Amino acid sequence: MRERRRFFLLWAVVLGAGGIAVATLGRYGVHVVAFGLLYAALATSWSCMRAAGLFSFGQAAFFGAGALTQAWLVTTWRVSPWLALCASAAAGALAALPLIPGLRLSPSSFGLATLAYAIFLKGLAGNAPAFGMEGFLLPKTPGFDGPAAPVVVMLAVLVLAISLGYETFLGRPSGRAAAALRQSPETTLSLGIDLVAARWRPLTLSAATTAMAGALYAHLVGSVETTVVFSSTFSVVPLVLGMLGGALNPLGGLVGTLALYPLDELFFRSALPQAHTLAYGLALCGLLLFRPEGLLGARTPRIPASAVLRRIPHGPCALAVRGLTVRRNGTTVLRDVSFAIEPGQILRVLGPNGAGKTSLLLAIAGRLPAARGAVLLGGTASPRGTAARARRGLGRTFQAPRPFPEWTVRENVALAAERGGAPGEVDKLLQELDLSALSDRSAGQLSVGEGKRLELARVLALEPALLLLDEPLAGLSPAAAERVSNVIERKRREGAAVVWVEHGPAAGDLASQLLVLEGGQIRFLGSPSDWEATREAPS
Amino acid sequence: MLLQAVASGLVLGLVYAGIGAGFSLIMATGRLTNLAHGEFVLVGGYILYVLCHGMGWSWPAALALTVLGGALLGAALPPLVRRLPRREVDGLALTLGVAFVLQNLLLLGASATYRVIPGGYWLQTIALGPVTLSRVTLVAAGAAAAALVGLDLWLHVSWTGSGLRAVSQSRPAAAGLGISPARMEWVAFLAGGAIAAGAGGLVLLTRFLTPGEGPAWTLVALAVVFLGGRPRAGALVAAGVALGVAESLATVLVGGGWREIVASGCVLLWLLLPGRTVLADA
Repeated sequence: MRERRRFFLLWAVVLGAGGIAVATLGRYGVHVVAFGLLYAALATSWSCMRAAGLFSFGQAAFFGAGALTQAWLVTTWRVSPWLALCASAAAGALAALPLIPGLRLSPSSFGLATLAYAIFLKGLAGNAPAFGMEGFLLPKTPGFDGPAAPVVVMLAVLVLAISLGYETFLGRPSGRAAAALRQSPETTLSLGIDLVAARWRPLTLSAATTAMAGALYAHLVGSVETTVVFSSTFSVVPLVLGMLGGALNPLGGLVGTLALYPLDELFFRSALPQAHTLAYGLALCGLLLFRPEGLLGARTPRIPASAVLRRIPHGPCALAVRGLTVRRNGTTVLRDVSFAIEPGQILRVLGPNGAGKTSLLLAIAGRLPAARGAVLLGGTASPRGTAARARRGLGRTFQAPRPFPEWTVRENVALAAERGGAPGEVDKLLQELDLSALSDRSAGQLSVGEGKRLELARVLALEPALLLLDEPLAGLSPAAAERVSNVIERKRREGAAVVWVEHGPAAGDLASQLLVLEGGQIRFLGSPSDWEATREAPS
Repeated sequence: MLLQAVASGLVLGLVYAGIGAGFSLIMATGRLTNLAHGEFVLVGGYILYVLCHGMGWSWPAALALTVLGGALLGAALPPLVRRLPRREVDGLALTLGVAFVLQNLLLLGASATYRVIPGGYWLQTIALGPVTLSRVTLVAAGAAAAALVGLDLWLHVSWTGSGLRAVSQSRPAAAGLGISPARMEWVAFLAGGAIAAGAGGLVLLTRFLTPGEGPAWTLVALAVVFLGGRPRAGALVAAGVALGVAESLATVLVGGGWREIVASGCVLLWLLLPGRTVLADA
């Protein structure tokens, strides 16, 4: 409700400010309003990408693609501007396609890729005979002639549509998946959420709307030059305005534009005609140093308690590891490891530091590729990648807790329950692991012990068939350790297969099999009692 | 013609390696991808231009002051960078902001006019068999090679160099040995800025200066560091030469507009090829 009120209030301010500008400044006022809306559209489009944890330094690639497509179609082929506008949006979305492999990257690496991509496209467009460096002079078309009322209205509709699209995206499961990815990529993958699937929508939406803004810019200015429309200004200005308003807020782009653009237009352009964008550089530096979250701050989507995203029933599933050899940075960390466990069994993994215990869990989870050998789930080859294996019913905890820090304890578990199709289990799990009192606390504020219990609750909410546990009892009080052990034992009785790396004795009491690793190889595989007998026997 | 292109590329590649060296030092020890590196290069070029052609200074004296100016520019970054909560992403955005500020200041001070060194003795060419190169280009390549050898020696022989390498590998382990990561970081920014400005002087000798060229030079630095893989002079020279030769050949075979496409294509390929993931990066 508060958000909605803020939304309408802000738009009232925008319309009021626009009206005053037009009334007092006449035709120049229309120009100011038109460019203000253009920058607001660019900034909001940039923010859409930020919502998925992506950082773009090369929005000029999409802007230039849209502006050139519009100018080329309208000038060379005499296509109707309306039709060309649709084609420009499609060109923007198409221009985003080569970046799809980059969706796997960290925000900074993706940012560098976009930076290089904008320069790459600028070079390609400049060398394309159809576009060239000379550019286009657009013909005068009714309604599309300079900063006229129809173009201004279209820009306003575009800004409104992007912010509403962003708002809708945040409220949908894909928006929640994107927000999870932004907070903790590895934990998100362990919930079965795919990186590319969660990020392609914001990328495409951002690219298409930026291209549309580029197309409207072509009509606003009346001409398009390749060097201008691909210039770094159209990468930096949206970034600065988006961050100034609050990149993680659907209204951030509009607020950032309202805060800085009038100053630029009415003061800096006359004071420093050649270098007026200096203001944006200074604003970006100041913003990062003093208010990195922007004027509005972040708007993280909430996780509803009752929503069900997808039901994935996981039946009992056996795990078989055959001749597994894993290399890490050129060193063999696991060599020819083979074992199998059935549903309802616990395999305890022991070994000194560097024996390969965590590497074994990472390889089973799909986080480390096998150099040789195979991991079979339910008798069939397991799919590649962490997210795909999680969707097959493999749940995993981390040695050091990795929660989603912007969400509460309850929301952390609810997100997993949403993926696992078990929303009714959330309260039961929180109670079972003594987390009910902490359910509304931010997960980023938990102690290590509380974080460990949250790890287990989150994984169990996925309803996994196979549990990979990396020292879940380490650092817990005896009472908490007993509680956690009981929950794991309950899960085993329900039919889950468990691979449990633990040094303490509790895991040994529950395990039906023991695997001892040394130097990446199996030293012992059998029952815990046989291991004890082996150790007690005189050498 | 191809041989001439390869020779020009070789010479250009040494200057590229010099640009990549400063970038690599800041990236490894300062843990920052400096998107203002191209502007640092340009600032160096403009300082040298003003001192030599505006004030009549001798080249060596002007180059010394240029390097000092670059060091001061580099030293200004650590106090800003240390305030950032997430250096990896926010550092990129901050240095982009710094780049934009420098670009606009250069526009204010020097306008968008292209600056080249005036003709004369140093622009005369020397024939080396079938290849001809200008004297000034050879001087630039020689200076870049000497600077890279000097940098490698400094990093591998001096105590400060060992400290820089230690901090780039593990800050806690280096701190445990009594090496101050903060001090080494400051040295890396100082040296990185100085090298970038010095390389800017060499850019002035081999090409031209204009304020809008900064992102292109940053891209060259990125391509050299990504292709080189290791912050060693040999690797940087190999990467710089490969990039320089590829650009020269592209210019001869396809056209002059392909220079930026080669460097940006290298960076894109390196980032988008399979195998790199958000987890591998983290």
